[in-house]
Amino acid sequence: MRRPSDHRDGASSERVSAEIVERCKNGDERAWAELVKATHRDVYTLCLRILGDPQDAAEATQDAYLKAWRGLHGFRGDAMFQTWLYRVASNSALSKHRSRRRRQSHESGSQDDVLTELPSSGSVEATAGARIEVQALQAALARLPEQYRTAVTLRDVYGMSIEEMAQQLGISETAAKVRVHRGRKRLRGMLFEGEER
Amino acid sequence: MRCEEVREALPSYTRDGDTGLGVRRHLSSCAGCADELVHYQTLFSSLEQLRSETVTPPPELFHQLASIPYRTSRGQDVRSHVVRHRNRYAAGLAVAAVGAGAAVWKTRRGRVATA
Repeated sequence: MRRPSDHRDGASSERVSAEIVERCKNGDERAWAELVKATHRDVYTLCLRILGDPQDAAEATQDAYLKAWRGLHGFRGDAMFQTWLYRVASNSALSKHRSRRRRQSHESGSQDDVLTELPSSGSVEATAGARIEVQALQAALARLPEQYRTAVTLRDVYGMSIEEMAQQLGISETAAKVRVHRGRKRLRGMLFEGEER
Repeated sequence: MRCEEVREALPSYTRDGDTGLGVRRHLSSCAGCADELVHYQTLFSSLEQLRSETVTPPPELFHQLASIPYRTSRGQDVRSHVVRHRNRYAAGLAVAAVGAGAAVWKTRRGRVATA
């Protein structure tokens, strides 16, 4: 099973060196700016995928970096820095998500229109040579109910373990597995059979 | 194994390697389920690659993030916390005002009754 440390570097993500992290720990603001420059696109995208709203995603990103700055001394370097940062960011996004749900508990409507604005740069190559257009995949993800979208995003896009996902979402591992499973099945239905269930 | 059982198991079989011999045996002899397997392989591969598709953040965000070390003094923290949670603080103040009003009213009413 893939663990969070299995995160591969996305094409857009520059690897943050241990030296930059050390300089940040010592309060070096220039090193911090370098670190932010190398990582903020990925972190913002992760927050946007979970939250679906650019404003909320920007706020969650700010929360994440604030926590990262304050918690840098807690980063021991046994995982890749980006992995640690993703964990902090998904935590911030999920907190935001929870508070937004409380706030909007009597409102209906979805954020799908926002998520479908995620840019497309063509299609991705699949193992068997088949392709799913990026835009189609993102649109399908956006149409998933929030809890399934979050579960599939964390597990299958960002490689988070079920254990950690359950912890971050505040649910049991069984519930986390169920959400991932149902989300995957719905996605497959939407993409290969045009199902909307 | 029946097709329905295999198809139910396919997502975690494909992605997480949760496998049973029964699934593998079935796949080797059932073209429909093998097609289904390809769908899931395509889906997971595409989802993984989605991670490298990033979105351009609002231009001001970088400067806000880069300036965090400069603006994380205690006073700034308190101010930004209050601004972010202003609705809660306003609600709290409103509740406190109502409570104080009720207390004053009750006290006055008690005095009138005593008189």
